[in-house]
Formats: sequence, structure tokens, C-alpha cells
Amino acid sequence: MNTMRKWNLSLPAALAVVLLLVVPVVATFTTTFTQPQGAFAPYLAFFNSGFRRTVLWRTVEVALITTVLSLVIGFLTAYVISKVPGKAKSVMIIAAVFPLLTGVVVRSFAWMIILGKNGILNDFLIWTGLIDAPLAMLYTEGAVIVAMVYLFVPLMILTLVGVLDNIPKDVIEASISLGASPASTFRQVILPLSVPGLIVGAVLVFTGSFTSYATPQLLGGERQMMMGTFLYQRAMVTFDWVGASTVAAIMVVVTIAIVLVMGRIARKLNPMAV
Amino acid sequence: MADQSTTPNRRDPVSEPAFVRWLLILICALFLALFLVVPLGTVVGRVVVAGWGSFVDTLSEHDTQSAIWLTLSVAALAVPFNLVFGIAAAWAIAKFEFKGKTFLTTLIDLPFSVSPVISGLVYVLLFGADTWLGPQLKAMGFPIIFAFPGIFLATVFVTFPFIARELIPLMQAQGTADEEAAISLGASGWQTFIRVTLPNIKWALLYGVLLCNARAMGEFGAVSVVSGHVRGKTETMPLHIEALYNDYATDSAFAVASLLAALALVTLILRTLLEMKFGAEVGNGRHK
Repeated sequence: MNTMRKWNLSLPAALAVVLLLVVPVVATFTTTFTQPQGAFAPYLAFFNSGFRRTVLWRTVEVALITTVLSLVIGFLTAYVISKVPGKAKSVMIIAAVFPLLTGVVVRSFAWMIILGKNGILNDFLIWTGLIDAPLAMLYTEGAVIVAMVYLFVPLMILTLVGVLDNIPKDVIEASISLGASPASTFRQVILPLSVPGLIVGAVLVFTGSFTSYATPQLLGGERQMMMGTFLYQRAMVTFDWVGASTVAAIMVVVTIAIVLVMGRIARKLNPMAV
Repeated sequence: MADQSTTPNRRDPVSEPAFVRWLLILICALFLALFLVVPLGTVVGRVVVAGWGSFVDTLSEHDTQSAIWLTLSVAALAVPFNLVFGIAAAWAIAKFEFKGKTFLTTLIDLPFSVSPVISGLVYVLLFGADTWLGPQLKAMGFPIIFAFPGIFLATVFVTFPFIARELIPLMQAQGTADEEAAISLGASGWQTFIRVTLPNIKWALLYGVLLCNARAMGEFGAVSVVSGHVRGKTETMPLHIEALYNDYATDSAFAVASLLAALALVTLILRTLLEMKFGAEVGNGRHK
């Protein structure tokens, strides 16, 4: 194919990307650097505020805990799923995929029923006699983390099942035949070979939970404000556009930084890389 | 699989003893049921407890019907839009070499790494009341923000990557040999696409469409920013659920939530049926 036709084919995609993605994003961030008080004034204001630093720190903390929990739960589940024979495997994968297909609002609502004051968990704990009065579980950091783990574990499972399925069987057989116990095979062969998948999953979960809005909004409320909800409040409640764009820019920078760091770790730990 | 440890030292090296295997599977199945399926079940459970009458009442309200209609029409427009875009982008990235390819790939992933609130906000900053474009378009009778076009744009933005991301790895793995053969045998570009490329990617495409559609119907953050929350007009189903909940109309909120979940179930069943009918070659869940 000649060059002209190549261009024709990539033009719709390129145009759509530029018009719908690049222009709005660039326009948003430009406003934070063109303020009369100075180029970095909005950023200084952000980091000088104790409340805003708390919000940023809480968001990083929640995202990190969510990522670690999803990694552990997702990996163990994916490991078992990858060993299950045929039909049961399909059923398990469908069970894992189904929550992904329902919206985040529906899935967060489920946890409102479970964790609420008169919710299923409180009722159960009172019934067993473990507690006398209902615990305040909704609108806490814990509630946000539980719901986010629920949100992201399916993504992790799907990523990791693919990775685990692709580990060549003979590598594992070789390890066993050379005298390694199942435990050390798992630790020294399977785990290192899954590292790239674990990193991909971790990046997905971290960026997803760091930038999320619906879950902190529904399960964290005003008291557990996170970057997403704070950004929404700046933009849609107080109409502080510059403040909102600043929060947005900080979120993007943190996300990119984490993705780059994880990419580096992935390259370091990847046993397949030379 | 049966226990293969007939001779103690030569059991199948890649599998545990049978009882360990079944125990693991049982734990895993229990976990999936408890942690992934039951929470969704509780939403439906709430609706059942509230009774059929309350469910029907909610669904016959004007605001609810308008929310359902809005959600369905936004998805019906956004998904085909991203279908065309996704195929074009994946085609360009997987089958051609050109400058700026990595950059384009990164850009396609952009909506996954920015907050949904940002995804909506960029359009407010571009078309909002304080901007140059916004008031002009509004005066021409075509408002973007707090109206249908804004909701459509925000939905397209957040669902941009789904189809392209499903297709790119597959199309890269398949290479260009099939297309080259078709063209050398005299097929036109369009014929090659319809009769060679499309059949090769159909399962990945279906999967991408499904995920794209799920996100389009369920999107909350981005749509919340651009919608303006006008009851009966610019409220999608997820927004309506939250509004009902905030009004202490809990039963109605859960009724709409369960309907949204049911729509997801319909798409999943549709996909499974399609796979059963046409795709003996697809084994489990994901395409190969």
C-alpha cells in the first residue's frame, strides 16, 4: 500500500484522538499555568493546605492498600482457576467477569446494603452475639477499600488467568524433575514468571482506584473525601475551575509517576528479559 | 482429573493430589460466589423483599423511564461510534508501521488512567458556560453541557479504549499474511476487511463491544459532571439511582439498580448464546 492510503486509514483515528482527547486535556492543564498569581501558584496553594494534603495522602493510601489486597486475592484465585479443568473453569471465569459488566454504581450499592447500619453484616454480627449495637462501617476508609477490592479483583483475575495459562508446562515439570518441592516451584518458578502480569494488574488497579469517583462518593461520603470526590466538589459545587484543574493535573502526574515506577520494577523483575 | 500418584515417586509433577485440588477448587468457587456474586445478589434481594408492586411502581414513573431511555440511547450511539473508531485504531496500529504509533497507543489508553471526573470536566472546560464555544453553540440551539451531546461525549471518552485494546494484541499476533494473500488474489481493500480481517477478529470484537457497552451504560463519574442532573431529562440510570437513594427512596433506588444489573446479565447471556451457536472454537471466556 502506498503512503497516501496508509494516511487515509489512520486519519480517522488520529483526528478523533486529537479532537476528543488531546485538545480538551491540553486546554484543561494550560489554565493552571496561566494564572495572574504566577505559574505555579495553584499548586503551591494545594500543597500548603493541610486538608488537601490529607485528601491526597488518603487517596494514595486507599489505592495502595486496594492494589496489594487485589494482588493477593486475585493471584490466589487466578492460580486456582488456571488449574481447574474445562467446564468448571468457564463457569468460574464467567462468575468473575459478571461483576465487571454491571456498573460501578450497582456494585457500590451492593456494599451499602451489606455494610449499612441495618445492613446484612451488622444484622449477622448482632445475631451471632459478637456485637450489641451496629458498627458504623459505611462512610469509612475501610468501606471504600472493601468495595474497591470487590471492583478490581475481577480485572486482576482476568489478567492473571491469561498470564498463568501461558506459563509453559515443561518449565514447571523441569523444576519438579530437578528436585524442587511444589512450594519452591511455586515460589521460584511460577511466581517470578507471573511478575509481568502482576505488574500489569497492579497498574490497572492502582490507577483505577486512585482516580475513582463513584465508590468514594457513595461509600466514603463527605468525611472520607478522596481526590476524585474532591475534584468533583471543586468543579461542580464551588465552580473553582482553576482549583479543579490543579487537582486534575496532580492526579495525572501521580498516576503517570506510579505507572513509570511500576514499569521499571517490571523490567527489573522480569525473568524473561535479557 | 484422577489422582495419578500410582507410584509414589512419579506422580504427575504439575498437579497436586486429587483431594488438595478439589479442596482448592471448592475454596475458590466459594470465594467467587461469596465475594463476587453474592453482593450483586443482595441488590436483587432487596427488590424481592420490597415486592413486585414497588418494582413496577418505580419503573412506571416518568423520571425512571426517561433515565432508562437516556441510558439506552447513549449506549446505542456511543458503542457503534467506538466500534468504528476502535477497529480503525486497532487496524492502523496492528497492521501498519508509522511515526507516532507508540504515542497513539498511549493516547488510546489515556481514558483508563485519568479520573472519570476529569473525563467529564474537560468537556465542561471546553464547552461550558464560561468558554468561547459553549454559549455560541447554545445560542444555535445545540447545547453540549448539561444536555445529551455532553453525556454522549463523556461516555465516548471513557469507553474509547475498550474495543481497541481488545483488538490490538490479537491483530498484532495474527499479522498481515491473510490480508496480503487476499489482496494478491485480487480482493479490494473493503472485501479484504469484510471477508478476511473481520472474521478473524470477531470474538475479540464481541468481547470488546460487551465491555464497552457495560461501561457506557454504567458510567457514573464522567456523566455526573456533564449531566447537570435534571430529573427526567439528563439523568442516566446510574445518576437516577444515586438521586433516588439520596431522596431516601431506597426501594426505588434498588429497583433501578437491579434493572441495570439485569441489562448486564442480558448482554452476558447474549454473548454466551452467540458463542454457543457460532463458536465451537472458542473455549473459555476470553478469546485466544
